[in-house]
Amino acid sequence: MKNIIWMMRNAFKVVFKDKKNALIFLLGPVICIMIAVTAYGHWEEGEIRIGVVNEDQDYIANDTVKFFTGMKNIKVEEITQSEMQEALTSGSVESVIYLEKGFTNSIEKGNPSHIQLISIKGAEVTTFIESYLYQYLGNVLAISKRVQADHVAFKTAYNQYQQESYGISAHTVEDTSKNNIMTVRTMGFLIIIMFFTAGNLAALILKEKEKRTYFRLMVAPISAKEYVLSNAFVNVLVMVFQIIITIILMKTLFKIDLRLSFMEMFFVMSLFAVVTVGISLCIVAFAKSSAAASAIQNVIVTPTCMLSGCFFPLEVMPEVIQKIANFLPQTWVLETIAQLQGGAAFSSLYMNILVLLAFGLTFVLLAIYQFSRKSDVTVFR
Amino acid sequence: MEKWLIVFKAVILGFIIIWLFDSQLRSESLLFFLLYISCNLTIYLFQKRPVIHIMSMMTIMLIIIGHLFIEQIFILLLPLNLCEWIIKWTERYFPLLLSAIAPLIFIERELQLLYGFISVISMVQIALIDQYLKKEAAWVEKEDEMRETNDRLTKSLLENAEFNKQLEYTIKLEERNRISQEIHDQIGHNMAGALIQMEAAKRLVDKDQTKAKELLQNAIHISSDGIDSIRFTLKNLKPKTEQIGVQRLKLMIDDFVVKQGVTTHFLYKGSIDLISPIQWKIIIENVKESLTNALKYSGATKIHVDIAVLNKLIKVVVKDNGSGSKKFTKGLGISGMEERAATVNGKVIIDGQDGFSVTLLLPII
Amino acid sequence: MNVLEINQLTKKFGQFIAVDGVSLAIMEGEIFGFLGANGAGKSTTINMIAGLLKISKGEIKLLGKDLKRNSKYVKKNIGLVPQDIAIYEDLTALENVKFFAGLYGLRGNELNKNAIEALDFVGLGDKQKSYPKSFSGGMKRRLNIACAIAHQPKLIIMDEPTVGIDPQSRKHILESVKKLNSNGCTIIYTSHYMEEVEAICSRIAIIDHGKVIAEGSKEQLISLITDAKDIQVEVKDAADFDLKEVNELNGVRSVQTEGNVIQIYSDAEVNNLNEIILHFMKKKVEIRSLKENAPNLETVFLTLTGRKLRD
Repeated sequence: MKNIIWMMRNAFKVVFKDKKNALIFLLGPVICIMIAVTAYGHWEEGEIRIGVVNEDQDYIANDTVKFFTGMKNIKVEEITQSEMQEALTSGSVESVIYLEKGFTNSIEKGNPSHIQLISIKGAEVTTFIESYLYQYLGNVLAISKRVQADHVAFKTAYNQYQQESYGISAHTVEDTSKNNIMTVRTMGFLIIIMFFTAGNLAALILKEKEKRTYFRLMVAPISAKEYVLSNAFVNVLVMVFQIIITIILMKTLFKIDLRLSFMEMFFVMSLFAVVTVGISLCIVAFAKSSAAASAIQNVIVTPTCMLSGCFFPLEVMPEVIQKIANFLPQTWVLETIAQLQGGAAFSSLYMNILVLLAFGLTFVLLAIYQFSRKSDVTVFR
Repeated sequence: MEKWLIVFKAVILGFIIIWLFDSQLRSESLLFFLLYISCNLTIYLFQKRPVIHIMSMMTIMLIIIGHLFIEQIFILLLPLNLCEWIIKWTERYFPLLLSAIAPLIFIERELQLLYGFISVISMVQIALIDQYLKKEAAWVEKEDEMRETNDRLTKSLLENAEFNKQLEYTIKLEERNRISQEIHDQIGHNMAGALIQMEAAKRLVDKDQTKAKELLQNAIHISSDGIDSIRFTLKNLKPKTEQIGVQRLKLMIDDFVVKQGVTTHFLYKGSIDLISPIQWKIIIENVKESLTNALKYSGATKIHVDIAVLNKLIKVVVKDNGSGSKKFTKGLGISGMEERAATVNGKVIIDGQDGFSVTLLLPII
Repeated sequence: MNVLEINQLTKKFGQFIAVDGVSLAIMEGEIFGFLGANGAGKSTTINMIAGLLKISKGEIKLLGKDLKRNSKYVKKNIGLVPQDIAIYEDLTALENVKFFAGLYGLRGNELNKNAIEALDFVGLGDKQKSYPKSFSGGMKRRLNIACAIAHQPKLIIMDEPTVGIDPQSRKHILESVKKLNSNGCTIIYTSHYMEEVEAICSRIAIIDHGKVIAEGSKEQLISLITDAKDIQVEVKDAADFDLKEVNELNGVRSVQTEGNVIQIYSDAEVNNLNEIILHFMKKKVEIRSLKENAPNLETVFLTLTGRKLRD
């Protein structure tokens, strides 16, 4: 054990002396969250700035502006028509609601017109604003249809509505499915990063063989088992560190709701870290050189991660691929996390945990088997 | 052998996976596959018998549990593991077949044909591998036996050499006997004659000087004749081991050239009289072996035999211009040479890099 | 006392026999040389002694303890300087030495002290904090040695420690080998540089095709093949030079002339060059050139195997 710790210390030194390495191992988690967030979560963040050109200045137009001003995540800026173009191109607002003269009138008549929604960013923002607009104006229109163009009746009904509805309007509903997807996606990218971390660290064994320091270790009173074990320990430790960093960053910095407890997430991912170490040790055991190992690694890891839904949801893929994906450990981790998010109890997922454990056991045994088969001949020159 | 079994197991596993592919994969099935692989790996990992037995039993149980509670088709994995295990207990193949076929009664009809097919193949494969292993073991044993016989023969050869030495000694004694006889017959007679003449001359020297001189002259003649004949006898009778050795080697090489038609050069330098009879015997036998080897394996057209007597070593090189061989197996021929050399603390170096050369180094005693 | 005993050591790689029944005994305080061409089986033998390769047959004993049964003890008492430079480029010189010595159980102050001593010993005392990336080939070789001696082994095995380095580093390494030896270390030294082996080894085994074909001190090995040397003296005019007088000089066996060159055939063990030169000077014969063909290990190797040590 003393020797193993000594070798682990040295492995850490060797790995982290190289600043590039250290940066990759530590920045990996940050990168995967960033990718997930930019790909799936941009509207979750911050405010949307819209401009309003109110040429109508009648009561419904004014109330509409008020409605948007009252929204939590929307910032409204009143501008004139001449300013509109510049505000849009400079990006100071993302879209503009243009209420022309006669807007209130058209609503009263139950036939909305004289309203334009202008944006240069495209459908994403517009649909969002649109949905709020429809929601708000829909209610008003319903009143106008009821009163059949009776101006006075409309006015009273409208005032009544305004007073009541202020309480229920304008608060954002939490979109849990978005959060779930983002968490699973982040874990998907983290899995890829973990694979490459594990691959790189396990390839140290081959690199040490190539640099001949391995033989020096074997000359010392140390067995090959102790050496491989120390490598595996270092590997697991680095990955556990990555997992912790990722989860903490997600919770604090990016404010993503995991929808499952820290411990559950940590446990599942750590279990997978062991599987990853098993796989990378297998690759190292079968590869003849570190170059070959990284080639095999690329050939195996990227496609399987793609198949198992690390990059994009499994549901979009054809059924055959989904079936193949069932044989991949990555699928099981993501599946477990998704189920935990869906509210499944941890104890009810014992089968998933057992499968992950079995994956780990199988790969570790396979690696040991292969190592023991080629232990002697490698030194011959 | 292990490799074949692993491949065969993988094929059956792959078949089952494809068979089940259309239905939704159950997590139990996947768990079963992984445990099955792990169990088999453990069987191959540990060389200790009890561990192998326990793991084999566990694997078989796993398959049965899988068959009963997960998927029927998992039973197809059974025959191979069963056969593999049972062969470790029995020599005969009948129980093997029986045990592999027996579960047939318990399984569903639609799987029976498939199961029967796979169990027969498994049986045959295991039996073949078993036969192969037994044959290999027999060969190894045979090789050991041959080596032992070789050892024994070399030893008796050595004893033979002892006997030869004895014989040589007897011959020497006989020779000595003959020499003394000859000396007695020839030289003794001459000496006696000379003595008588000289005795007479001594008596006559005062009375008749000329007569005495004549007698003395006679005695001198007889003596010098005697000395000549001593020289002659000794020269003729002295045994010359080195001549015998060189002659025998030359004869052997000439015989080889005549019979095989391969040009063979023989050279020697240094004081070859330092080579003892026993060393000659080893040299001749090893050269003979090397020549036969050169003829058999390397397709040489020219062979050099060099003997050099160095200060404390005798070096004998047999080198041909044939194909040579970078990797050669040490057959009985070469180990025979080595063992012969070892009896007099000699060494044999074999080099196949540029033609084939066998170097024999013997220390001078 | 024998530090290392090797008995009928054999290594097979499939059908190929790399080491074939090697038996050796190495005594305490020796510098024992393994001499042989590349691929002769030197490294394989050494790798088996160091426990890197499984032994096919035979036994190895260090200080009376069998390698197979006491591998930890044996490994602890051996320091191997491998043929290839085996150090971590990303660690400083001191960190390298400390790491490898730490594998032998040294810790704390003792580790620190030994590591610094080892670096001082190979002349890298002022480079403790430097990275091997900036080192020359010779300095790397020296660090390679330091990593193998910091745990103070009883037996140090050096496998071609001077391959591809400048003469100065070579000299330094040879001197440190001698110094290690005088500090009480037993050393096995392999090389295919004849001069090095001749210069430092007290006993030498010539290894060829996996076998020890001859073993002994340099003089013993040379005396295997000859006890004579050849001295060629080229003079201005050898026409009326009296050969008989030369013949009577100490150790001289025969003399003959070839044109203006006088060939003197003499006992190898007698140092008579001075006498011979003095004789020529006394006779007022002008010497143009003088060449002594004393047999060396190269000649021994060539005579015994029919091949040169280096191609």
